[in-house]
This record gives sequence, C-alpha cells and structure tokens, in this order.
Amino acid sequence: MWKSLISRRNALAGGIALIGGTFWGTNNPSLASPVNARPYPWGGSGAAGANPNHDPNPLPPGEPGRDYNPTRTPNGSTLSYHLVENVKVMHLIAEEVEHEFAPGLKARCWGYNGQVHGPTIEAVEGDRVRIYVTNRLPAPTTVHWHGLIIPSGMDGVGGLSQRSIQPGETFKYEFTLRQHGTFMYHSHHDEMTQMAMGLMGMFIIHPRGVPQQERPDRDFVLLSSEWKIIPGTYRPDPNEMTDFNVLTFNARAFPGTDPLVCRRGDKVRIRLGNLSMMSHHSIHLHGYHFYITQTDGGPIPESAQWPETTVIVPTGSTRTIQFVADNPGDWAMHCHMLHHVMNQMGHGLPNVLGINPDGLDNKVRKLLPNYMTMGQTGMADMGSMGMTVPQNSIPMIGADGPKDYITMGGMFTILKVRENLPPGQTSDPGWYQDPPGSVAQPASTEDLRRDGIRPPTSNNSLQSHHH
Amino acid sequence: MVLLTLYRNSLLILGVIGIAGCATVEDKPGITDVQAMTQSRGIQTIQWNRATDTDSQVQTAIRTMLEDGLTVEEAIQIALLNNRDLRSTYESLRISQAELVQAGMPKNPVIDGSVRFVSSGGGQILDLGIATDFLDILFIPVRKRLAEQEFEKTKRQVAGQVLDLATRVRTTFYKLQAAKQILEIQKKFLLSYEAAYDLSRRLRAAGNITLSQTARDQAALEETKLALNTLETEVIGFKEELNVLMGLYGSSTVWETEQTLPELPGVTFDPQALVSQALQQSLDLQIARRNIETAAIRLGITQPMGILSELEVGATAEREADGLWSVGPTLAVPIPIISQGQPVLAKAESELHQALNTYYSTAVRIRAVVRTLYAQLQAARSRTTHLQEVILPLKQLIVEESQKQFNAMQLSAFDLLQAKNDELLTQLQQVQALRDYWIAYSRLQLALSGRLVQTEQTSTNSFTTPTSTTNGGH
Repeated sequence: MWKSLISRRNALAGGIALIGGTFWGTNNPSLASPVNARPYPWGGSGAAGANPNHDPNPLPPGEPGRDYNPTRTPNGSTLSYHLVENVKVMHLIAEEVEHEFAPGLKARCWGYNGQVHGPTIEAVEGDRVRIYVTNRLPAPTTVHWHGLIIPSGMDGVGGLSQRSIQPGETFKYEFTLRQHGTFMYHSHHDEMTQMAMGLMGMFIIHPRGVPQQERPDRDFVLLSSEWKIIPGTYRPDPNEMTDFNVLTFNARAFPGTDPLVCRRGDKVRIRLGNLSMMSHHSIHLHGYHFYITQTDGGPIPESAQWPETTVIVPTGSTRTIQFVADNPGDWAMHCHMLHHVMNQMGHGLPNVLGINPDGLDNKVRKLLPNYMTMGQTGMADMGSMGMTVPQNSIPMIGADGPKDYITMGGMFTILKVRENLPPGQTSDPGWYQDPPGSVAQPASTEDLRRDGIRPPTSNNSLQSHHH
Repeated sequence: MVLLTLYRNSLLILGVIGIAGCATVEDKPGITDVQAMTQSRGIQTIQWNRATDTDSQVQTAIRTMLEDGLTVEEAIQIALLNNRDLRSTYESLRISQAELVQAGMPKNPVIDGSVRFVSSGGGQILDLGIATDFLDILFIPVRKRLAEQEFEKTKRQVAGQVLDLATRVRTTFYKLQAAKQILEIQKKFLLSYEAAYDLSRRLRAAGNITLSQTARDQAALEETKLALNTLETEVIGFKEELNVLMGLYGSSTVWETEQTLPELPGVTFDPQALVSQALQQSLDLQIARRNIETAAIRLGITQPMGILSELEVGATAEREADGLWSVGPTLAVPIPIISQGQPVLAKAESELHQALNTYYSTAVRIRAVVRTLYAQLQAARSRTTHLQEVILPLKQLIVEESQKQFNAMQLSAFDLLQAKNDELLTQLQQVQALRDYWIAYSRLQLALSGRLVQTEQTSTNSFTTPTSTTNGGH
C-alpha cells in the first residue's frame, strides 16, 4: 500500500496524486506463483501440496525492468548472474576482505566477492537459481539461505544439511524460488566467528507480474550488523558478546553510510535485514510515517499493517517498510538504540559528566603534557576536537553537516528527498536547501521581547553543587 | 695485656723522642712513597697536613669546592684532605719510621724490642729478654731489617686506606646521587597520585563515583607520601655519611651534589687483563709478602726473596682460564743462625707458614673478588642498557598510545596515569641499575688498584617504592 503522509492529510493542497490503496504483492491471487505465499492461519512453509524434497517446476527466468525494478543496496552491489538453460547461475566466493567501515576505520573481515557484506542476490519468484560457493577462507564454511523455503539439503547448515565446504572447495546450491520477499544469506558454520567477521548478505525475491505503477520507484536494501573492533586494531573480535562498538548499515558506519536518494513523490520501499550478533534494532525514520508491509515470513495483510515511525527489526529477521517520499528534506534514519549510533565508544570508563575540571589539566600536564579533561559535559565534541587518536580508529560520533557538526555515528543514514532530481539519479545530491524561514535559528532579541521569554543571564543556576 | 700496653707506651715514648729532635725521624716519613703508590692508582694528590698554616689553606680549598655543585672527584679530594681518620692513619707512617730508627739503636728498654721480635707471647718473653739483653748488639741488623719490613707494610696499609676512603666516598656519592634522582621520580609519582585523587574527588563531587572509590584513591596518595618520606630520609642518610667521610661539620655541611649519575661510560674493562692487573697492583699481596719476609727474617733465613720470587711468579702469571690453583712451594726451613730454643723456633716456623698461606688465600680471594665485581659490573651495565634502550622506550610508547586511547575515550584518566606510573617505575629501575653499575665500577677500580674489597650483592631495589602503583579500580 503506498501511502502519502501529505496527500492523506491534504491531498489537494499538497498537489500529490494519491497513489496506493492497492496492496501489491502475492496476496493478489491473479499472480502466477508456484505456491501461494499468503501466510497460513497456522503458519507453515507454504510448501503444502508439493513434495517437500523436490522443488516445484520453475518458471522462465524473470527479467529486470520487465518483471521488476531492481533494488539498490547503498554502499553495496547486486550479484550478477548469467542464464544457462533458463537457470540463473551465480557465484559467491567467500574470502578475506579488507573492508572500510567509514573513512579512517578499516579491518580485515570475511566477505563474499571482495566485499563486505556480500552482494545482494536478486531474483524473481519462480526462478531457478544455481549458486556456486567457492571457499577461499582459511576455515570451512557453508551458506544458509535465510527464510527461503527450499529442500532441506540446500539449507546450508553445516553438518546438518550438508558437509561443510572445505577451504579451496566449490559447492553448488540449486533450487527454485517459490516465494517472494526480503530474505538473507549467511554462513551457518562456526556462525559466531564467521558472522562476526561479516559473512552475510541479502536475498531479494521479487514477485512476478506486478504492473509497473505498483512497483516501488526506489527499493533500498539495508542489512544491519554489529562488530567489535578495538580502536587501533585491524580485525573484528569475534569473542565479543555484549560490548559491540561498530554498528552498521550494509557494513558501513556513519559518516560512511551512503544516503538514500529519492525524488519527491517516489514510491519508496526500504528492506531492513538484521543479522547482528546479539542486537535487535529499532529503526526510526524522520519526516515520515510508513507501513510495515512484509517480514521475511511473507507479506502482511493490508488489514494488519499499521503506521509507524520506528520499526523493530529483531536479529535474524527482515522488515520491509513503504511510504511515498512526499516530504522533501534531509531526513535522518537511524537505530534508536542510542549506543548503536556511536562509533567505537569505550564503555569501561568512569562517568566524568558534570565534574569541575578547573585546574585539573595543568596538574596532570606536569606529567602528561597532552592531557585534557574530556566528557565533563558529554561527548558531542568528541568527533570535532581533532585530538590524536589511535591509528585505525574513528571518532565516537559524527561528521560535519551543512549547519553544524552531526553528533551521530554507527547506524545512521540520511534519506534525501528532492524536488527536482533527474529520474534514476542515485548519487548524493548534496545537502538540502531549506526554504527561507524554515530552519531553526537563534532567537532574536525582538522575538524574545515580543513573546515574553527571559532566558537566565548566566547558566550558573543550572549547575548543582556537591560538597 | 700488660706487655701490649708497655709496647704501646714505649712506641709513644719513641715517637716523642723522635719529635723531640732525634735527627733520623722525619716530619712526614714515607708519604712520598705513599703518594707514588696512590698516584699510580688514580688518586691525584694526597696531603699530610700537620701544621696549622697549611690547614687553613686546605680549609679554604674545601670551602671553594663545596660552593657550587660538588662533583665526586671534589668529594674525594675533600675527604683525602680533611678526613681525620686518614690523617690519623698518616701518623702511623711516622710511628713506623720512628720504630725503624729505634731498631737501629741499642735497646732501651730492653724488654720491649725483644717482645716484638717474637710478637707478644707467653712465658718465654722473660728468658728471651735476658738473652736479648745479652746479645742485643748482635740483633741490631736483624731488628733493622724487620722494622724496614714494617715500615714498607705501613706505607702500603696507608696507601690502601687512602684508596679505601676514596672508594667509600665514590660509592656513597653515587648512592646519594641515585637517591636524589629516585626522590625526584618519587615526587612525580606523588604528582600522579595527587592528580588521580584530585580527579577522584571531582568525580565524587559530581556524584559519579562511590565514597569507597575516592577513599581508595586517597589511600594510594597517602601511601605515596610515606614512600617519599622514607626516600627523603635516605637522602639525608647518604649525605651525612659523606659529611663523615669528608670530615665536614657545622656550616660546611651545606652543599649540593652534581645533579645526576654519570651516563654509562663507553670504555669497558678487558676481562682477560683484570685479574693479573689486580694481582700485580695488589697492596694486600705486597703486605702479605712483607709478612713472609718478616717471618723468614725471624727464622734467620737470609734469602727469603728466593721463596718469594717463586710465589710472585705464581701469583701474577696465573692464567685465568686454567682453573687450577697452585698449592705453593713446600718450604724447607733452614736452620736458623741463632737457636732461641725449640718452642720459639716452632712458633716462628708456623708463623712463616701462616704468612705463606695468607699470601695464597689473599691471591685466591683477589681473583674471585675481581671476577665477581666484573660480573656485577656487566650485569648492571646490561640491565641499565636494556632498561634505557628497550624497556623505557616501550613504556613511553605505551604512554603515547594510551594518550591516544584516552583521547578516543577508550581509556580513563586513571588508566592514562597508570601508564605514566609504569614509565616512572622503569625510570626508577634505570636509576637503580645505573647506580649499581657505578658502585660495581668503583669497587672494581679499587680491586684493580690493588685493594681487596669485600664483595656484597649490590641491591637492585633497596629503595622504597610505592606499595602499589595501581590507581584505584575505576
């Protein structure tokens, strides 16, 4: 269902055509689908009626443009395929990759095809896919197709579904896609290590036969994960259980995240996957409310969708949200779990907030000439102070923004909605040019007087004194 | 005891006679020889001041040396000029020379001379006294030879004491310098703990940490103050020890040393040459040799040098690596010219054997002492170098990197101060190692100058360091 914030409230004034009211997807019974993917009242795989050990008959391969509008994976890519006798053939190579999380922070991770995370696999319901997996890691691995209904022996659980792929070996996975939606893939061998190192990606299956006007104009794919990279080190630490310090969208931490670029009025879908080691994420979008239309279990009936500004994405699941980008601006989208918008934050420190630092620095500098008390008023300055930090580490928060320093990091990205954007442009259009009078400004004396606001002349009264 | 007292009194009398005008007792006998001995062993000048006019010159010189920062060489010079024990030692030269003069004269009182012939002993003395009384004139040349031996021994003993004093000054001076350096480092520890406690109080005032955490930081600070107190006392102790050695009191005790211990010198000793040098230069061996000669003269052996040349060859030509010690020649004791009766003869013979054995054991000990000191010197050198060139740069790197981690808010200020404390601890260990080097160096120099030193394990950590260098657990 495409729902426009503005048009719903004031369609005429907004001048935006009302789009939607139509739930697109497999709940349209007219679509040719090998199986009915509508959720069953009692759950189940949706494979009822078919021999669970055999794939349904495939349909002819779906084509981008004709059958679907390709997704876009910010900071990532989509896996290419070629057709061999109507089978989409793809190749994943698991290997060590030097990956940059944000400018200034790199680590030796494990990924696929030279990137972290792996490329997004994109196909169409009914496609037959044959995916080769070559292991160039120093350890055995497997690939599990997370959420896909496929034969048990293709499920990729090391030891259970298959023998693990030894270093140097290439395995072949082949199955027919009997569902559509947002899914994922990841290693299922020594998962704790291999997923902490980054072996994961997204698996998008488009429905067949969706008319163009019901397809999204912008279809973004974001996979969340979390890492422990001690500042000054060059490899994620898979032993970490709770104190993750790099939280990412598509393995990038702000300011390393590419913006989600939209044209005003675009139908926007954002597919959120979460394969974090230990965390769920509540992803909050500014400037909009949206509908949660799908999970990796399938589409949510329209009657069950409700408007949201924040969607919780549990680890090991996907959530798909949709909205019409009818509100121009630069809109933050971020995890609202606030330690997830910090970069490489240390958690073993005493709380220095509120201490009086007068004279302390001079005392300590007799021994440590570069000492400076920090954190007594918070951490907002951390990124902009320009202090010498360990090699290969990034300031805890932030980047320069158009109006000031942006004190956010980690799982933070920007939805950029522009009035005049050439169709198909995905590159960063720069900062939003606010209409005059629409930016918060320091209050003028005039304003204050007129409205009877008397700010205290000194902030001393705000400081508490302890003795 | 009575005899001994008599002996002493007679010497005193002789001394008085000498001073009173007996032409052959010199004013400062033997001092030139002693000077030559000490000069060849690295002591530039010694002075034997008996008259008051030179004394005042000396006092002026001492005051000048004390004015600006005192160097170790100046401290030694002052001690050699002003140490009253050393002056008293010089007097023994005069006493010894007076005895030599006396030995050339007919005996008066008779018993004294004869007592000294066989050294103080039992009932034989009376008989001997009678005999010597009778034969006194015959013994004059022998007595003279014996007194000559004593005088030569005395010169070497005096030279040895000069060297001892210089070495004591040197080692004490280094200990003082080290203690002062360590005190300065300890003051930095104090700064660090003060800063930690200061921060802790502010954290507490802001309501951010518990009282027990702040109390722990304060306790660490208070303990550091105690450690500082102990070190200050130690500095005073070494300074007073030097005052004693330099013979200073009153207003002269206000002086400061040069700031820091000297760096490790580039020159090293040739370990192959050390032992033979120590043996060749050994005043102790020379004294032991005189003792052999004395015993031989008493036995009436006319050519004791025959035995001794053999001994000396054995001692000085000893190669280090063979690991074998010669047992020494078996002495065939010749029949003495004058028999003084079998008991006396047996005693004198045993004394000769004793002297020979002492000579050998001294040579053995010198070798071992030199090797031990060299080992200590090398250990202290490599320890100093390792601390200075490897460990300290690492600790400094840790501080630098900790500062960056602190800047990135990965480490607390307490962690950062702790990293600094670790660096300070290494600095402290480095000073201790350098101090141990210079102490071993001084002692080895003394041994090579021919003076036997008692080896002792130089302590690697005689100074009080904070009981815990760990800042409170924040």
